[in-house]
Amino acid sequence: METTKNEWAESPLNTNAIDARVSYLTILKKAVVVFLRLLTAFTVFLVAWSLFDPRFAPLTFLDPRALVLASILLAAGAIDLAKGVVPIEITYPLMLAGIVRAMVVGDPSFLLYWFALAIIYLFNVVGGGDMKLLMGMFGLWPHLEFFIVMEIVIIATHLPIVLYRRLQIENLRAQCRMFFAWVRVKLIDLTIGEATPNDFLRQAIAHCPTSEALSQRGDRLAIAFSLAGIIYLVLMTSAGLNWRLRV
Amino acid sequence: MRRRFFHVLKNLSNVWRDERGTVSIEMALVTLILSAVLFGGVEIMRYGLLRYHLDRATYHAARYLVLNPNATDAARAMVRAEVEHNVLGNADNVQLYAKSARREGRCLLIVETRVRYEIEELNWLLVDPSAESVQVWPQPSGCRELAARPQLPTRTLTPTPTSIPTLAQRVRLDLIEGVAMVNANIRLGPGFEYAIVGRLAEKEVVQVRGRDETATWLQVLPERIGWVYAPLIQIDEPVSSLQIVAAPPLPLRTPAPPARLLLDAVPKVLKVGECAWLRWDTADADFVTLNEKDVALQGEQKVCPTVDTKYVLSASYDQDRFFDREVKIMIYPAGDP
Repeated sequence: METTKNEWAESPLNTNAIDARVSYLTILKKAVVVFLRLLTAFTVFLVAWSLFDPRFAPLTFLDPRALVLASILLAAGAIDLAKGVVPIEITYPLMLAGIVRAMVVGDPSFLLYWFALAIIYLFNVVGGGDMKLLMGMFGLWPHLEFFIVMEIVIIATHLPIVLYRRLQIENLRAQCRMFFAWVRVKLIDLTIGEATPNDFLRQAIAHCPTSEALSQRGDRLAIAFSLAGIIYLVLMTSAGLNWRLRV
Repeated sequence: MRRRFFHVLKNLSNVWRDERGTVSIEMALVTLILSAVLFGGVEIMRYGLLRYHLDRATYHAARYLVLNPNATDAARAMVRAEVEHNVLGNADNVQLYAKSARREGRCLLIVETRVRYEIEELNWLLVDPSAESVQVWPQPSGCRELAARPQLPTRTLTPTPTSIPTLAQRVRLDLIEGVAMVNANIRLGPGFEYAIVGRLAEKEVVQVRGRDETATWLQVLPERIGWVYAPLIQIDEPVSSLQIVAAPPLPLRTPAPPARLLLDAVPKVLKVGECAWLRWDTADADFVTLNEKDVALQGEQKVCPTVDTKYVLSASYDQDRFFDREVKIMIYPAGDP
């Protein structure tokens, strides 16, 4: 039996046709996903922008914009906990908003924080997603208060984890004793000329994790950074307690 | 070097594709602690630098004001320039107060400077931080009123009454701020006969609450209520404007006297222009004051009073027993036999 060309094209046995139909569907799906990601990114950017642009009304107590931004930060932390990545739909718009803010307000001080964060990234202390999230937040709030809030939150969240782990592994007191003995030995080395400050720097750099080690053994703690942003919004801005402006 | 630079750039360029939300928490903690130490160290150094240069500037301003008593603005500009030049940041908030005061017949120029020490954006955390410096210089040209002498800011702790009384009626009911010019005794009441209950350090800030009837003693609130000899406290309000506070009854002294507490004046009767020697000996005392000024446990001092003067030696024993000895030097006019 002879089949026409059109029948063959529509036949389920024709794998080429199946591929063609599937690829169209895939492209459509991809287009929808890209559209949704762009929409998300645009929303994040708009919300971040609305915080500093003078054309928008100043923040008020429990301002919806602050609540939305807090939700976005929380979502970034939650996605990181679940998947180990901080989506670029959140990080890039925040960074872009930081740059726009610097131009609108005329305050390029965010560059200092970005520079410090870039160094931290180069030493593999944080992953790229976390770093971009931090860059975005420091772009929006390049203030010392935010830095202090961030420090307090990170110490409050990270230190117990470190202590717990250390206690699980070995006796903490013995570890501390070892550490101080190490410091004493190194100080003696430095005094008698056995070692130079450059040696210490090299050793410190050698203690930094590699990129692979960070990927394999790093902790998913973007939620801590998000938490710092939310606490800052609640404590320091007029959407919350407004401590910064009250005094 | 160039290769390393490109390597760093290449590593940095990875960040655009890198979405990892991972942290090395121990290194993050170390980084944060290091940054906090660095920041704290820088700020402590900045504060030290500010204090050092403010002291220098105040010294120069005082020396300048002794020669040019009316050039307060120029002295303020000198302080501002020195602070601005040597300490990072602008010094728009430099305050300079200059006043003349008569102490024991000598005319003194007191120059006090204040600069607000600001950590930008942290003013919500640090309440009114400032660096202060004081210089006291003898003024050979005599006590003249300084031009455009600004008033020391007073800190009102209680609400100011809404109705403004006339100048004649004006009596301050609130606390005003004062500064101890030297180390001073805090006594239980307005007089040398009251026991010493505390000490004020030089430059210590106190809240002045009132005065005695003769306006020679001030009631202050350093930690608890006490009285301090008025000439030792610098306030920028007239003493007479303070409210009069009733003196407490004289307390009973501890009966056990010290082993040796001697004060003598030779001679005790002088003509105007003559001098006498005060000699004292207080073994085992914790500290000794002569007319409220710190002196050694044993010593002598030449005094040349021009009017009848009482000298009171106060000695503290075991931090809770206080004893006084007094001697009066009488003056006869030069023409009298």
